[in-house]
Parts: sequence; structure tokens; C-alpha cells
Amino acid sequence: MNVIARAAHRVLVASHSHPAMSNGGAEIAAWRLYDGVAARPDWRAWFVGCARDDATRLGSPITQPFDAREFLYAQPGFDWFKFANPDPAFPAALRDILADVRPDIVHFHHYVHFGMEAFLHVRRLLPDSRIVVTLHEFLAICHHYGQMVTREKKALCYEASPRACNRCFPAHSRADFFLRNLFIQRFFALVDHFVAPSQFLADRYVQWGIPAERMSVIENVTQRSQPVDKVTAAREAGSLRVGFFGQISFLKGIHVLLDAARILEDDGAQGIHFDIHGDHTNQPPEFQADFLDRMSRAGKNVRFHGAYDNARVDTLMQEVDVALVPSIWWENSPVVIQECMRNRLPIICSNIGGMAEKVRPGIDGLHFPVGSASGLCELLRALAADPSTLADLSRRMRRPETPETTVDQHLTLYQQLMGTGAVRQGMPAAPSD
Amino acid sequence: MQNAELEHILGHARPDVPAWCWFDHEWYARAHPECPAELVNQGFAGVRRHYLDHGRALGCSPNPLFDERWYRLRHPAVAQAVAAGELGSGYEHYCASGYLSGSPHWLFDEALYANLSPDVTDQTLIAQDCFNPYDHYLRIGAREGRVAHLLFDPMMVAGAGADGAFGHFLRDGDRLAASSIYFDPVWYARRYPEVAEAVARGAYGCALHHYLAAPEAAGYDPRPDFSETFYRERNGDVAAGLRAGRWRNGHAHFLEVGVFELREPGPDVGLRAFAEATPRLQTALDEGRWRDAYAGLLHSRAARVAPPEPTAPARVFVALPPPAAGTGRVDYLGFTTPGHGWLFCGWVNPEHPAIDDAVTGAAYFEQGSIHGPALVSSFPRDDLESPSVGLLVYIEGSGRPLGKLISLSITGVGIVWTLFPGESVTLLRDEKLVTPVRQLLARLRGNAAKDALIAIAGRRGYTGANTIAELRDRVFLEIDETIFCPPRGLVLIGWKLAGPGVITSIRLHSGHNDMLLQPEQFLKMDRADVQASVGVPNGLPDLDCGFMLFVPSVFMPAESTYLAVETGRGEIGFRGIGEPRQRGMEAIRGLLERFDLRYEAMARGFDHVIGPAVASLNRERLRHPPAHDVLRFGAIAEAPVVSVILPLYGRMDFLEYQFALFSADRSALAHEFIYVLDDPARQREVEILAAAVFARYAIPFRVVLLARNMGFAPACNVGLSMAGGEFVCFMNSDVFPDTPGWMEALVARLRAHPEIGALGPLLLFEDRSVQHMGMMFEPLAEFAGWQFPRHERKGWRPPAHGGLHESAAITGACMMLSRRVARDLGGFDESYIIGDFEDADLCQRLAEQGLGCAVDLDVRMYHLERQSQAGPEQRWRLNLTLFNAWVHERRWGALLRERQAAGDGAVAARHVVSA
Repeated sequence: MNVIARAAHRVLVASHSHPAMSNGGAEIAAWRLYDGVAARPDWRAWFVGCARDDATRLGSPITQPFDAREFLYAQPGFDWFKFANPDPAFPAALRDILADVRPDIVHFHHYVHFGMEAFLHVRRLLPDSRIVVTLHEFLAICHHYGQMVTREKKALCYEASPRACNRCFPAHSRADFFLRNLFIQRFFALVDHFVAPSQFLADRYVQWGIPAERMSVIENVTQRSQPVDKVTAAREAGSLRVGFFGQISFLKGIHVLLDAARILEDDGAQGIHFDIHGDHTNQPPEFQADFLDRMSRAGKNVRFHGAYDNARVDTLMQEVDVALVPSIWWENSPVVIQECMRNRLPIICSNIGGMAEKVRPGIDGLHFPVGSASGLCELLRALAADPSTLADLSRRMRRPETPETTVDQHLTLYQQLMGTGAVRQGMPAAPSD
Repeated sequence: MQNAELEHILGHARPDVPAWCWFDHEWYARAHPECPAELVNQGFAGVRRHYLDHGRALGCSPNPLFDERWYRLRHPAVAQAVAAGELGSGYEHYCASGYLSGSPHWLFDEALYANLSPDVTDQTLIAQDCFNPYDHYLRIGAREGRVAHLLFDPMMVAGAGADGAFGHFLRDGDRLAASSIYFDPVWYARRYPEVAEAVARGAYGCALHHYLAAPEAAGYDPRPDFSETFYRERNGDVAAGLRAGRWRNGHAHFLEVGVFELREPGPDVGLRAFAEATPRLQTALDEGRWRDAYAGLLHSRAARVAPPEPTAPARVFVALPPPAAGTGRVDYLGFTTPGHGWLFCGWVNPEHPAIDDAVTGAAYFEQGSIHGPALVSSFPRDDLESPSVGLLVYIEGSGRPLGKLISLSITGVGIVWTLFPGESVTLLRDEKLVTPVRQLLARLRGNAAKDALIAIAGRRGYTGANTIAELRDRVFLEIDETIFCPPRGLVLIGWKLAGPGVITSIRLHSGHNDMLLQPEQFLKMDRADVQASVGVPNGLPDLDCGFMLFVPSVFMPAESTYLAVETGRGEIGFRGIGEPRQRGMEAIRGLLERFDLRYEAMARGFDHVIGPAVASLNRERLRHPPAHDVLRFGAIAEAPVVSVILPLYGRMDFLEYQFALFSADRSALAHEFIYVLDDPARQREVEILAAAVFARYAIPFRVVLLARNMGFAPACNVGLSMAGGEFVCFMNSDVFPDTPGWMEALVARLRAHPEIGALGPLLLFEDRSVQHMGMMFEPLAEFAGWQFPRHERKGWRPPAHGGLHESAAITGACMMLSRRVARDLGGFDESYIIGDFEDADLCQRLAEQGLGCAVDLDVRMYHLERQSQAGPEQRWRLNLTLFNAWVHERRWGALLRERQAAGDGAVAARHVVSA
């Protein structure tokens, strides 16, 4: 036990939203980190999130509707092209929070809504504090929702360049993309360390220009819950229940699932059934119309169960034999994969990006060629024919990290940053069995 | 002549002979150098003997009132007869018959005496026992103070004895006595030294005699205020009169005619000014105190009397003596617009009745004159005595108002007429003028001019209707657009079609102005639409029937403006021109959108039409610079070293990027940023953005808000006027610094190299290839050989080396120079519109001062240049660049070509490696 009382370390976690208002992966992860750090004895944590403008009190951009340690910034308008915040009240508002909290670490789980200039404000006011940024997608690299998938054809994109980006967005010239990059790099230069939830994401950013020594791989903090051992019901050969859990969108590859289902139906493979759980209502109207149309023409082997409450996902996962993540974009660290691991439900996913990294083939699940319905069908037929494969996978799959582990990793990082200012090479996520 | 007769006419003075008819032996003996000295002592008979034996033959005069020599000069037939021996002397001729018809003396002007003394009629002579008017003058007139010669005023001559002033003056008078205000004998003798010698010799009796009789004296000046040379040069109609023998010299013309027209007798005399400043002059003249304004001026100067305070400008038009031959009156006159000339109607008392040869006319008005070939024709007038005839005169000229008519001169072979305005003369115009003229056309006497006069008088004027379609020859003319180019220029855009040679002239009329349009003013353009719809169906298939033309100084806004097209038949068709609508930048753009020319056609088009029109429109739009508000953020640096001036147009978000980058590299040098918003539509946007930018970066800056879009040069100059730094750096809003410490680096270079006037960084595109590292000039054949900038290595990879790279010129996109130099040059030249070539122009002016330009290859910035212009929607923008190129070419083209011929300039710039 230490005799000398040490001042507690102070961490401010910044999120572009607030779980009370939306439940996207990034804000939930940010919240869980805050929660986890706050629970530690030598650490104090605060949380600042962003809300829509109508959540504000007139003349006061910063409010505290929930707790003394939570701040809400009312965002009036944002420049999504270069992530600049035009709100003239924001710099002073942020400085007020910083002056009040005096954090040693400011950890941005996103920079949108705050604007990249926020790094400059922190640096100016608290020159000795450290700035950490967790990257959740490729927004800084790619203007197409940060997904590095071309806008028209939805083809995979491997590298950004002014020429290529201008082809996706003719309204923005090459010069515009050049300037965007210049602007983002100028502010990224102020960040002390970056965190990526997957090696894949980290590699992409390092390739893009973030110095490797300033990048670490740490998983998102997961939900604290009891792992549920899956009851492996006896399964006849030839039968297979495939579950899809998540947003129903084009990039999530729902059409690959439906195409595969059509092929199997036409082939007469009667034992394979698909259960689709998820919300389609956030999508563009054309997509929704198309999806519903396909559902109405789908065979008996596909059932659409609609949206689900996240708390029930464990129950729902008990009812299927395998989870399917057929995303046609790279994916970073999909929450559904963590949930499957918690439930020991094997995962079939596309062979690219963060999915392929998290799902070790033959251990945590299996890969199929991205976008290939026929490849998926082949795989599903093989699994249906031999029930032992899935049983093995279920036993062998890794457990997800506990939240405590992830929080520990964050705290280690913070201490390294506060100590010497330098950090050793980024730590890969430790598999836990 | 018989002896008895000779006795009679050479006797003593007696009352029963004319006063000029006697032999004055005393005078004879002393006045003639031909007489031996001792002759004086001889008596009457002896002296007379001398006269009869020698004197007559030698041309001596028998008495001072008869001048033998002068008489013989005047009557060459008499001189011949005397030489042939048929006559003894001119005196004998005069006594026998000559006395009835002419003057025998140089100081007696019978015509003048008759004019001024109309009461001396034949009846009067008989009643008063006078043989002729000269006799009357000598006996009575001179004593009464009557004037018989302009240069002899009896009242001025002192010591009149029994002879009267005249006789006394001639016989015994002082050789240098003044006899008239118009002649100064003392001055004359001094001015022309041979006069005194001649008088002393006896060749002439006195200075006045010399002036009036010596042949060379016709060109001499009678007094310092009158200059023969000046008067003849100034008044072209005088020369004609002199040649015709109408007047002996300019002075004679002046005294008879010119003085009443207030023509100036000499330089710096100020006759007209005197007349206008002396309101009581008219009264003095009416009362007869002075004969004319000149006399009045000379008298008042002699008396040192200051002219009274002017209350209103005086108009001095003296009632002239009744017209002599060759004079007449103008009853009415005026300008006829369709005839584009002046018509005068009046009458003349001609020397000859026929007016068949070409004549010239000169009309003098208060504020100017018209002269040129005249069309003249006569017609009978019942109200006049023969030989006076009515007269119709036409002279072509401009119709601008000239004030009242002073006189009208018509000259030709054997014709020298001067017409003066009648008492009730009227000034008319157009229809009011031509209506009475038309009524007398039928009565015009046939001559060469008659038909032309009829045609001119018959022309109808412009009533507001377009009458081109009514012409007998087919002419099509349409005006699509008119643009007003202040102060009085006009651009017309349209098309015309007519057969070859049908149109003889096209005139533009506007208010009182008109101008004949020259073919080279028309910039031809293709009009396939007109060719198809009008040309081909009417057998006039010209494709280049469109035109654009610029008329510089005729247009009067708000006045009636129209074109008058004259055909070979002498008909005129009118096409009205509507009020121009476009102004300013809209008009400039409208002009520049309409044509697409290259090579020589382009050069011609710019020289004659586009260049002057656009330049005038631009001057007008910049004439009243708008006021501007200034937004201020933060505290302005007190003594900045660098003022960065950034014109803002279009993309406002560039400002945000610039500040993000400026914040990453805060210079240690005191500096200030001055943005100039040249885009008033975005003012609100900029106010919001600037406030947000300052809240984020806390870098002080100002934004000047121009109320109107002006262009790159004026916007930069506004910024320059507000700058306080030792150096100014003009920077485009799409320029973004890359090398840290750029400001210090450029300043250090300029300080180390005083021979450099303007310094810029190496500018790169977003792919880091070269956007700009200096430019040189080359002539482009496609653009009529005009000089255009060539950008060194543009698009290539930058050179590996660094240092200073000299260049003929650098771009205004980023240019740093000493503020004093920039101010001395007056900043950028605002003749260049929007933004092109003004940077090249500045660099040429620096070169004139011996200062060079350079690019510092060690300092790099990005310049995200706008996309190149292409496509018809950008044609006006390309043509605007060509306008700027034209301005630049006119100023610098010759100099650059010289340098290129000498091998300088176009060659790759020298490179200096920095130490």
C-alpha cells in the first residue's frame, strides 16, 4: 500500500453522441470505457457527449441533464466534409469543461460533432495533457461514410487518393480532397496516440499516414454480462439454422444472404433456414422497398423477425446454429461478433477486413468469399451435412475479453502516455480462452 | 491738251474752278525731289514751266490734292497714254473727264464718301457749285468733319486753316501727324525704317502716304494692334477677296467688314472680349462717338479708360451701311439633319449674275464656323431692285449649336460675296427650316447646284419611325443590342444586308451630334440565322452580315438616336436605336459573349470595337469606388513587418483552411492579415465564417467588405491602402502554405536582395507538381502575335535544387514586395478586368524601375488553381482574358518584342543558387 497519497488520474471521455439518445456502437463503447475507468480507485472519469441542437438551454451550449460528471454539448451544425465545427461558441465551451475537469487524458471516441479543432483547443489550454483518439471507421480517410467502399458500385476500396475520391464524388474536386486531407492531418498531428479496435483498421491508418508508433490495437469495451453456454441441441444432419443479427443494410450484405437462400431453395436444400433479426427502417426508402419486395418473394427457408432489443440477443442466439455476418464492407470490430463469442455461437463471415481478423477460420468460425452467394451456399451445405464442424467450433471459439481487461489495457496506455510521453509498440488484442 | 486749257487748269486757286484744280507752285517746288533746289526761289511761272517741261513727264503732281502717280496706278490706261505721249499727264485726264468717276487721291475714297454722305447728290453738287464729290469734300465736307477716308479723320487734324484739315494735312502737315485712330505714323515709321528715308527723300509725302501708296506697304501693319499676317492667316475669306482685288489688304477688309464681325485684328488684342465687357459700347456706337468697336477699344486704351463693369455680355452688331456690290443679307438659316448641313436663304447684290462654277462657303457664328464647298443657287425676288437676287446656300457641316450668325461668305471665280444677318433673321431647324425652302425650290434658277439643293431640301427627317423598308433599293438593317459606353460612346450589335454598292453611307445621329460611320469601324460577324431567314430568300446570301461597332463620342443619352442609311439614289432610310439597357459588368460580359475571333480579325476587332468599348465600360464601373465596411477580429498589430492581403471571391471555405494552416505556423514577425471580400452576395456567409474562424484560432485579422464586385486589381489595391507593414504579400485565397517559416524566409530574401522587386514562393498543385515558378512571355500566332505568359515547368516535378530563381515575371497569386515600392507603383493597374495580366503588368513596371522578379524555390506553397476554361459557356471568360492581353500588348508589346529579338527575356530565366 502506498503511503504517499497520489492524486487520482483524471480522464475525460468524449463521444460524438450519448447512449441516452442513440445506441450506436461508438457511443456505447465510449460509455462503457467511461464507466469502467470511473470504477477504478485511482482514477476519475468524466464524459462529454454531443446532442442535437434542440437539447440545449438557450445561450448555454454545455448542459448537464444527467450527472455532475456528464456534459452534453449541443451541436448546431457540422461540416462533414472536413470535420470542422463552425460553432463559434464551442471553443470557449470546451475550454470551460477542460478548465473544470482538468483532465490528464482526453480520450476522444470520435471527433465528429466536436470538430477536429477540438484537439487544438485541448493542446492550447492543457499543454501537458495527452490526447487519445479511438478510430471506429475510416472517416478521416474516406468521405463515403468512412467505409472505403465506392459510392456507385459498392466495390471495395483499398486506398484513398484525390483522383479516386473525386471519381466517387465528382462534386468535390481533387483539390478539395487534397485540402480535406491537409486539414485533417494538421489536427491529427496534435494527437498523442490512436487506438484501433482491430489490427486491420490500424494497418489501414498507418498506411494512410499515422505513425506506427502512435497506434495501438485495443478492443472496444464489451458489455458486462454472464457468458451463456450454448445448449447444443441435437441436430439432424441436413438441418441448419442460420441467424443474422444486426442492421439490415446493403453494406451488411443482406442481399448476399437472400441470394444464397434463393439458390438453396431452388436446389431443394430443405434443411437450411435463415432467421433475420434486425432493423431495416433506418435505410433509404429504395432499399427498404427492395428488401420488403424480396422478402415477399422469398422462399419458405427465410424468415424475417424484425428489429430486436439488444438485451434479448443472447436468447435469440440460442435458437440458431450459426451466425452469419455477410458484410460486403471491411468492418472493424462488429459488436455482433463479440456477442456470438459470448454465446459460443460460431460465425460465418466474409473474408475481408476486421471480420476476417476477429473470426479466426477454423477456430472461431469460417470465411466465405465476400459477396459470393454461391460460395456461401457451398459452405452452408457442407455445414448442414456435417454437424460436428459447428460443434467443434463452438467449443474452440475464444471468449470475448472482459470489460475489465479492456479497461486495464486502456489504463496501461494512459499511464505510459502520462509517464514518459512515449508509448511502446501497440498491443494486439490478447486472446483469452 | 491745248495751252488755253492748260492755263485754265494750272492756274491759281480760284473759286470758279474745282478746289483741286490749280497749280501750287510753292508746294510743288519743295515737295518734289525732282525739282532742283533753286527752283523754290523762282516764281509761279518758273515753277510751272518746270512742271510742264519736266514734272509732268516725271509723274509729279501739280498740287497736293491731286496725286499724279497714284492716279496713273489706278488707271493703267491713262498711264499708258501718257507714256505713249498721247496725254500730257493724268491730271489733264482727270480734269477733262476723270473727275466725273474716280478719286484722284489716295486719301479720298469716293465710295466711302458717297456711303457716309448720302446727302451729297448731284442736285446738292449743283446747288453748292461743286464740280464733283471730291470738290464738295474739299470745299465743304472736310470742314464739316465728314469722313472721306477711313484713315483720315478731319477732327483729328489740328491747325486747319483756310484749306481745311485735309488740304492742310497734305500740304503743310507734319509728316508724322496722326490723322486717324487706325494709323499710327510714328510707330509705323519706327517699325519700317525705310519709310522715314523715303519720306525724307521725297518719294512719299508722309508716313500715311507711304502706307497707302507704296506697293509693299500693303503687307505692312498700320499700328501695333493690327497684324496683316495674323489677320490674313486667321481669316481665309480675306485672301480670296484680296486676290479678287476687292480690298487692298487685310486692314482694308478689317475696317470695312471684319471689325463689325468682331474679328480679332491681332494676337492678344481682345477685341471681342472688349466688346463683350463694355455694355455701353453699343450706345457709343449708336450715338456715333465711335465708328466701331475697334475704334472704341483704341480710344479707351489711349484714354486709359477702364471699360465699365460688365452687367451682361454685350452683343455688338452694328447696323451696317447699305450693301455695296457683293454684299447681301441672310433672312433665315438653319441646320437640316437629314441633309447634315446648313441652309441659308437671303439675297445678294452680285457683281455677276451667273453662279455656275464651284464656290466655297464660310459661315461665321458666335461660337464657331462652318466652311467647305457650297451649293448655291439664285432665284428672283420681286421685292428687290435688280441686280439683287434671292440666294439659297447649302454648306455641309455638323449641327451642333454655334450661336448667332455673324456673316456668310461665298467665294468663287469672280465671286466674293458677304452676306450679313438681316434685322429679323431667324434660326430654324429641320422641318421648320425646310418647309419655306421647299416653297422656293421651283423658282431656283437652273444651275449645277440646283438638283443637289432640291435633293437635300427634299429629304425627310427622322420622325421616330423606321423607314428602311420604304427605300426603293432593298436594304435590311437590324440592331439587336446597344450598349452605352460612357461618356458618349455606343456599341451597336446587329446585322445588315444590301446589294453591293447600294449603301453609300451610314450615319449615326444622336441629339445634335452625328457621325459618318467608317467601314473599318464595323467588326463583321457570321450570322447563319440571318443568312438563312433573310439573306438567301432575298438574294443577299452573305454569311458575315452581322456586325458589332463602336462609335466613340457621339451618343447623347436620353436624346433621339438613330441611324440614317443613304443609298446611291440619294434616299435616306432611318432606323431608330433604342435606349441601351445593360451597364457595368453585365454589359462587358454581354459584349464578350458574342464573338469568337482569332488572328488578325481578332486584333482588328479589339482595336476598333471591343477594346475601347470594354475599357470605357470598365472605367465607368470603377469610377465611383464603393464604400466598404471593415470587420475586425482581434487587435491589429501595431508595427507589422508583413501585411498579407488576400482577395476573397467565390469559395469562402478556403479562408477556413487557410487559418487552420496559419495556426500551425505562427510567424515570429509581427504581421497582419487583410482579407478583401469582393463578393457582396456572400457577405453574410463571410461574417459568420470569420467570427467562427476567429473563435477557433484567435489569429487577429480584418475583412474589408466591398459593396460591389470590383475585380482582383481594385480589391488588392483597397487592401494595399489599409496595409501598414514594411512588406506586403498579395496572396490568393486558394494558396496554402507548406514550408514552415515562409514569411520569415521571404522577408529575409527580400532584405538580402534589394534588386528584387517582387518575390514569390514555389507554388505546387495538390499532386506536388509545379503550378508556378515564374513566367516569361512569348507571342502567340493564333492571337495576332500578342504576348502571353508561358509558365515555366508547369505540371512538371519541381527541380531538385533550391535557391532563388529569377524570372521575367511572377504571379500575383503569391507575391511579396516592399510596401513602399508597391505604393509608388500605385498598386495593380485597374484597367485589367477581373483578374489576368495585372501581375505581368506590375512586373513590367518593376522592370522599368530596374527591379527584378524571382521565385524562392526553398519556400513552397500549394496553389489549387481553378480549372481551365473551355466550352462555349466560358467563351466570354476567354475573351475577357484576351481583352486583358490586348491592354497588356498595347503597353508592353513593342518592348517585349524588342527584348525577344535581342535574345533576352524569352530565354529561360537565369538561376541563382543561394549562398
